[in-house]
Amino acid sequence: MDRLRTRRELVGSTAAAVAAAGLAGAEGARAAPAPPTDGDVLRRTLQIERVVVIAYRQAIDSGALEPNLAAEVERFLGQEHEHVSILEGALRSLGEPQPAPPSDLSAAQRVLTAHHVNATLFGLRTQDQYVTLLVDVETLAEEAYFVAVAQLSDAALLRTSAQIMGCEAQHWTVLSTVKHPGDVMMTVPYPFVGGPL
Amino acid sequence: MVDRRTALAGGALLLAGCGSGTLRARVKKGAKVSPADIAILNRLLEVEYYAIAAYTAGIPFLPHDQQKVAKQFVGQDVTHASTLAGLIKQGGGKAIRQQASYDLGRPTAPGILNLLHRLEGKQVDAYIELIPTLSAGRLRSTAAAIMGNDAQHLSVLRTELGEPPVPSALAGGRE
Repeated sequence: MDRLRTRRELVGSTAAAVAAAGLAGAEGARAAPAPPTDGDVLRRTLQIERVVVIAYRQAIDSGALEPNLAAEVERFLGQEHEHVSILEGALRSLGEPQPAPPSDLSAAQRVLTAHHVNATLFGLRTQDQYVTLLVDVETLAEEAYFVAVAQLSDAALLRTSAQIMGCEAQHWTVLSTVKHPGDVMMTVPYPFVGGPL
Repeated sequence: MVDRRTALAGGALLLAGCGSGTLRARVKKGAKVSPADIAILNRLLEVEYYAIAAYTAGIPFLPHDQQKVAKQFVGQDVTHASTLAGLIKQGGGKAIRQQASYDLGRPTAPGILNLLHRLEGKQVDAYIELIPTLSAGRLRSTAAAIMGNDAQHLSVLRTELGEPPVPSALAGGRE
């Protein structure tokens, strides 16, 4: 049930954030807020990807993962590093500034909290706890790309973001299989991936 | 070969168990469809129909455990197809009909998984190619939400075939 709870909370928090943004806009000068630039979208997504990398690093360094799973998680971490590199490169190509990376674990935790993710980077001990963390951060990553695909204007960036979103969805399924082996109802539970806007 | 009635009947039964109605409704409701999107959505609908036909024809020949997986996936693909058809209608267009039959060859039991893997890969590639051409942001997100689920199908089918579940940092159907 972790997946269902997490997804529901994420959906709820996203809806709340959208509602809050709408209220803030209504209280403004009634001028339509400027849509985010591709640079804005990439910075938000990169900030989340960097926290995903930190969560994977924590899981691997903990020594709590069984060897086969640790090897798989190490491969996924390599792919997350590729995502970070792609986003950093895209920002450089646009001549846009990079967001500051989280300075420490507490800063990364604040990013998770800001995105209404309940997962914690602290005090985890068991494999199950780390897998739950990784599933939660992958859910956040899926949502980040769901938003990015709606907001980006550049066709190449759109295509790449969709491909990364697909990769994050695959990570999510493999990690969920660790928690629910052989139960496809839990590992591929919905016909849609990502949170609604 | 599978006839359309069989495919639709199988899919409709499975659709009942799909769940996620709220998310489905939200995904559909948020998207605005322009006339220029109709042909693109119909292309996506065609690849979904093809996969649905293959699942429906192939499921009886799969081992029990793989049948369970395939039933879950065809149910989700039926949801994708009905979502796309709904969007096309919303945009004032006419959704293509599922063909009366599809030439799926004569795959052996082990070959069925390879066929499903290939068709799920084609779906993922089609979405990735066409998402940037859709006009509205929320419509693109809806398509991406479907593509992400098809990418999950691909990952599970790869595992069943003894292949790495996530071979690339960028999802695609050609691995």
